[in-house]
Amino acid sequence: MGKLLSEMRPVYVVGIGLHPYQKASSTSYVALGLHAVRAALSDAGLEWKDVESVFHANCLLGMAPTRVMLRHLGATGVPMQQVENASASGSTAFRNAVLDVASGVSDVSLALGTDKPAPVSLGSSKAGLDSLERDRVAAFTHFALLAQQYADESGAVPEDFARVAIKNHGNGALNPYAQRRQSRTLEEVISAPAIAGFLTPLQCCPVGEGAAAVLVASAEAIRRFNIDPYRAPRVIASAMCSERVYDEASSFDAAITEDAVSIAFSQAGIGPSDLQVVELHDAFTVEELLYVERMGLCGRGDAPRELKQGAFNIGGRVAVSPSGGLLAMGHPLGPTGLGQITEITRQLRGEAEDRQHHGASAGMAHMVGVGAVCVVHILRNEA
Amino acid sequence: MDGTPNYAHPTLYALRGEVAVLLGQLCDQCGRVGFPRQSYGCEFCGAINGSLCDIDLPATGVLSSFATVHRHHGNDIQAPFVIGQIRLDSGPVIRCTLAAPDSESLSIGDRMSGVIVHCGTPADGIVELRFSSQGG
Repeated sequence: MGKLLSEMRPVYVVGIGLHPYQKASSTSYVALGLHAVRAALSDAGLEWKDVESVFHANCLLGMAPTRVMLRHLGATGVPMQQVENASASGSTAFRNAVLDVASGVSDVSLALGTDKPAPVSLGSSKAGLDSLERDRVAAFTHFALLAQQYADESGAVPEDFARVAIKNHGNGALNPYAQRRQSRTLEEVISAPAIAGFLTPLQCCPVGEGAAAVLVASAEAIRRFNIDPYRAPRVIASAMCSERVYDEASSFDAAITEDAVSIAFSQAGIGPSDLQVVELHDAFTVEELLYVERMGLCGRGDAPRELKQGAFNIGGRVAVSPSGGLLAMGHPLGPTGLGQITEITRQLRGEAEDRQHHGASAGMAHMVGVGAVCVVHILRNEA
Repeated sequence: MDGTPNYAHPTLYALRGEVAVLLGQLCDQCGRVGFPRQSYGCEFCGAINGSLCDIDLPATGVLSSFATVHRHHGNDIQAPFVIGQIRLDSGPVIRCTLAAPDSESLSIGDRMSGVIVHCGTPADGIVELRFSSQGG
């Protein structure tokens, strides 16, 4: 029988850094990543030599990109490894860093995500199995199918899905690290030609480039390096699970979310009403409606009405994707899950400026990786 | 159709006389019906190859969702086309191109059945399985 995170030594987020997410450019991943790591070290008041392990999330950089980048901080010989778990790569790197510190292997660990757009090659295409849909069901079509199904079950109309994009683009407009920084109207979201079903381009996330870095540390390291404990939220849950065989086979994203969130709440000893901030995997608008319901942030079928009433706005009952989420902040793959942790940390510190959700003391980050896996973390102020 | 059809995906479907079937399998350990056929092991119980028995699955079921695809980068089919999600009467949920050119006449809950249609050039004679509404 394994251990719960709560049975291991406490782990805290002590430093965060981002390179803004952006469209593909000539900037190398090395420059992107170093920018984020140096920002995280500066935020924590740590030096590179203080970092005892590195977990580097990336999906599209190819083999062995990590030391090529980090040697420019000084080749300390620190243990480092690549982490690939599709969209959940950054979240998985964060989990690895958290467990490295919780287990006592390291006192300070770095989770880093960098990526640049490149052709994607899924393992499933090499599994030796044919499929009826093949590449005719791209990600946007998968979610268009879920949207049609959700609309049929809940009575939601296209405007209900578009309101997710309006909220998250509005949040992204306030985020200097977001790839999309422009508020949008309902007309702008729904009037564009659809890509699949009734999903229009502004209801689909941009996949660009960027970097996100998070430093986690033990209580002993916080004391040793004189880190301000009021700027160091504790990681009170780390849950990861893979897809099981579900009766509703097509909605595995929602089912796996329910599995992982349930484990996380159990670890943390809290429930959905204890959260003030949530960053979730809103690569497509329908996902936010599905996931807030499966997370217990509202009842089944209630998400469109609650969204329309402002429950998920910054300043609402629980701020969902105050960063702008994947829809506006962007989804550069490797960094995405770590970008969520930087946003929650900023919110819990009270340092989110125009995006601040007042009174935030606990937040949850959630990512789904194709395949499928789901990774959920909960952070809370404890100082 | 004269002779053996030139199936685009011969491991997935076939004609039995004039009737299209999906090439599925049954796990004799747990009873799970699976599609497509594979020899790696049962996804539900882990039973290996000897327990997985080849069976034909009727290409009939109920439409549980659909979407018109307007953007497609492949050259096997031109957008727009319609993808349907169908819960087969035998259990598995599949996603497949629909025979209908648009989704206007479709409703979730429609009875669906598989049909073999030409999808290549007249010269290559390639055919594939698509689904259509039994009412349409």
